[in-house]
Amino acid sequence: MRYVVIGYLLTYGTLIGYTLWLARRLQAAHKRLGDRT
Amino acid sequence: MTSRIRSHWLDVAAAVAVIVGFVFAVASPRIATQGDAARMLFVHVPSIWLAYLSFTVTFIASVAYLFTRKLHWDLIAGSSGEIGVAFTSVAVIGGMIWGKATWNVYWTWDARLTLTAIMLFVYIGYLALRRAIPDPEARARRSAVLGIVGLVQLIPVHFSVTWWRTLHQTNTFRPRDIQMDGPILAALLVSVGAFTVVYVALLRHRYELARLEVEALEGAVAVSGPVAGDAVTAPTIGSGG
Repeated sequence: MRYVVIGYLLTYGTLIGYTLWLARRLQAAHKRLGDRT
Repeated sequence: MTSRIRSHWLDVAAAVAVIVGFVFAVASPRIATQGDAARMLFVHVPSIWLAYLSFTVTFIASVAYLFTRKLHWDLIAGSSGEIGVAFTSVAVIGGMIWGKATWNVYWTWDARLTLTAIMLFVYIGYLALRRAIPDPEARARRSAVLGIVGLVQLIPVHFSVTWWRTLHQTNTFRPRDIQMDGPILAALLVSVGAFTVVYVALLRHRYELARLEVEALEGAVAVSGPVAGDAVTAPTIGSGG
């Protein structure tokens, strides 16, 4: 059961982590373009 | 505005799909042969499915770029490649954890494991190649070639468990020979569906980011004007004394 919990944490953690990282990069890109215009 | 609303609904659908997939996975009956370790099936199979899907989209978009030379195809290829690398990593590391639970080893030089790891490294190389070339057209052309050649690996990765004697079990989902109980099969299909919706939502946002990066780059070139190297011209052969 321990390995299953680790496996699920890894999968869903990566999913959430990647989503948050993507959101942060999108926000930064919008800000960069907004600053320039 | 319509695009933003659509994107918003896609995000909501992806979040709901993840929750539903998780509930199905946790609520599925215990598999007698492997016990709770078999629940890894509901995250491992969808992860490798997304790897297959992502790299296939990269392949299709790469082919479309080479035919049309339209940059948005390259942006789709790169975006899908990045998502593919994330989920292949999850599939490889998750598979190692499942391996430890069932085989008592994290890693063995089994054909399926080794070929999947090679595929992961090739696509990490694909992402590195994209970052190494600043010129958008050269980057698109060269990475399209790798995006096309890279997909060839998918065939030995998928069929490795049939072609060779491997420790890894044979393909879980065989449409003509389903050997799974209804509730387990349902949980697996729901998980695969959920991850697919997540992929579509992530691809949409990653593509938007790629598009914004191109716009920022074009804006930076327009603002900065001529660079120092522009003043240097190539010497004319034979004109000197």
